[in-house]
Amino acid sequence: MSRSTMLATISLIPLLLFAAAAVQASTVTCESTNNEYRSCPVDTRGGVRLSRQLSTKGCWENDTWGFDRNKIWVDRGCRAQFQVGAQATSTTDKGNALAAAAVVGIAAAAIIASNQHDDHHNKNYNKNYNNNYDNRYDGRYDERYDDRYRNYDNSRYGYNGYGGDPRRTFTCESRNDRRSYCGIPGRGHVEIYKQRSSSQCRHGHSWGVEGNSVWVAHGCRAEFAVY
Amino acid sequence: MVTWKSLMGAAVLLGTAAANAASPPPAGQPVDTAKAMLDRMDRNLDGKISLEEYRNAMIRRFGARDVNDDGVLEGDEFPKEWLAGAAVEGATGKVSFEQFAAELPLVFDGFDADKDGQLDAAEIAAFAAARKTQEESRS
Repeated sequence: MSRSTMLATISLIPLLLFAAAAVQASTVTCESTNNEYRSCPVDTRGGVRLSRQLSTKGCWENDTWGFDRNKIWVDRGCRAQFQVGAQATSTTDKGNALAAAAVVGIAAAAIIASNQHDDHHNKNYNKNYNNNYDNRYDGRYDERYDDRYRNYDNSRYGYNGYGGDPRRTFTCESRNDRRSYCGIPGRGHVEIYKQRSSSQCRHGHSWGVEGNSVWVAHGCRAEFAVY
Repeated sequence: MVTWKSLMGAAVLLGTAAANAASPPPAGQPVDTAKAMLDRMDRNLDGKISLEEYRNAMIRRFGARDVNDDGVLEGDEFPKEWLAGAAVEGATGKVSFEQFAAELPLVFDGFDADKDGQLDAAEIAAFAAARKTQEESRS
């Protein structure tokens, strides 16, 4: 191999690597159903970003989702789309941003007003919005019906309409690195609400649910929420 | 940029509607303070709000609001209160879960001035202040 050929080859390598990374950029959907652990094989060396959460059940990195070199995993009902292998910081292009802005009314009105000079854009925006709406669920998310929880006082849900707070919270603490059990008050989906220990609480490792109890270990101390 | 400015407005509406179901604030009063946001969202108690903390709190809120569990807020479910000060007229009056979920990182980034993935005290204060302005513009 001549020197010039070798140089040319070497100089191509970064380009090829870049092309490979670009090709690998993709979106992976990984879903924990029935609250069970699920792993989704994928080469994660290009990076992983949770781009869209699909469950109201919490997705917390290194607790109910995570990844290693060969897979993304989810647990405890976390369902999400992950962007893999892309360094892009945002998947939301302008068209999607406009559709999403419609979600909050004022933004859509402001944007549409500011884009009056761009009729073409507005037409596309409306079209995209309708398409997105029609495709909102495709039936894959069978769990969504038990994956929502309700406002606890529907008759008042208009008062401010915020909601989203736990029904109950309770604290459970592992002392001296030992495992402790705490009864769950009431029924519902249990998540960590506030982690109060410096030791990380990680599901399956330092906390978990068994029957009507939560256990904690390895110094995990947390306030738990029942949704 | 107009788009970003508008999205910032959206972020205010989306993000700071922090109220406690157990103690509803008086009607018409601004409910969103930096402290309320932290109380509600700061899971690891570091005094900051990460994208993950914001995202989970907001998605919980959507779920609570979606009484008929169809993945869309419309009609009575449509969160006009989240749009305080907004000219809702002319808007579609519908919010799908997927749109909402996709929007969350974007609106968060709009307030993450130093792009470190966390809303620190100053950024949360800016968030709350923007919300307050929004509230006042309604009256």
